[in-house]
Amino acid sequence: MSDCTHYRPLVGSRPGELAAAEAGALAAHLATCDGCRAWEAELAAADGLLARGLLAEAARRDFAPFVDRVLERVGRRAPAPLLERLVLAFRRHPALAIGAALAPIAAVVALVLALRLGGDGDLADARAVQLTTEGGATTVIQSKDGPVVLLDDDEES
Amino acid sequence: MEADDLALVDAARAGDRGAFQALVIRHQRKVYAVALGIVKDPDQAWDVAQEAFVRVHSHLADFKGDSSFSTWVLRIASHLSIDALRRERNDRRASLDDLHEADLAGTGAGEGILATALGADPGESALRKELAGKMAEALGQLPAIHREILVLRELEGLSYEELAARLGIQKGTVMSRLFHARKKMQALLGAYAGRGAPPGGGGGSHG
Repeated sequence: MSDCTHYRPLVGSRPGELAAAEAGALAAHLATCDGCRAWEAELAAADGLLARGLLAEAARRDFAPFVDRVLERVGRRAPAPLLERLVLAFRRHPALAIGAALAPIAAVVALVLALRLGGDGDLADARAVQLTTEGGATTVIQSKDGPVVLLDDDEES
Repeated sequence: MEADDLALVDAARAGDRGAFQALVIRHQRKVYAVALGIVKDPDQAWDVAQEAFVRVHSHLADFKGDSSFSTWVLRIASHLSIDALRRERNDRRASLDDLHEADLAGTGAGEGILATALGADPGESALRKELAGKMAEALGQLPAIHREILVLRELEGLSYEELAARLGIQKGTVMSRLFHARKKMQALLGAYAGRGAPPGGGGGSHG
């Protein structure tokens, strides 16, 4: 492999892209090689031309329908703005997301505790059924110990 | 300019369609240019550019602002372009990346047509404009892997390291592939010069 075979592809590197030793060796080679210096001059002369040519080609195209078509496609795909905002808020404030995730769990725990600790065990399990017989109303409470019939004042007396 | 982009991104995230529209209009031509350079076909480039903005919109919440919006959208566009190419092609990568002595033929002193034609002050000139157009045209005649690396280097401005990561190749292969791409470009522009377009100029490579 000649020196040029090794160094020619290194020509056109940007500052910092080559290791210091490599850059130094390239500079030393360029100082003695007309061919590689000419190649370097070619690359320098052409710098930016390709980008310019492609952008000029893009500029010749009519872009009027472009953005409308993009917005149309985006409109079909877009999630609800509220959901988007929530996601964004959660990303920016992770504590908010953790709180939101824990809220349902906390609610369930609170409900269970309320049922377990909520006063009289009999009453906690009780379901009331009201029966009507011959114009009089009688309330029957279904407790875990069985039905409890609440008598009217008249019946008790 | 970039601060405006970030403000528009924030507004677009909050559901402001006008802000997103402004971002599209601001960057559409460069995104299209990148896609065109890589996929070559204008209609396919148009579709790729549109898809790039649709993807951008659906990932606005992921944009952290570590890089500029422009860098981000161009990266998406070039990814999509390369994906589109890879679906279509079956390139002979190895043979295109190998560097041989014969590859250096024709790049010796005295053949720096571009440098000679543009002189010491390659500023704004009709010739420069014409060469830019020819270069974009010649790009379409290069193999796909050479188009993509030139566009990523010249329009996206990627470094060797970034090119290696983006294309999944070694840094040495990046340099070799860029060299081949530029050399082919030089050959194509040389042929253009040989057809007698601008006097004293028209050939060369590209950097």
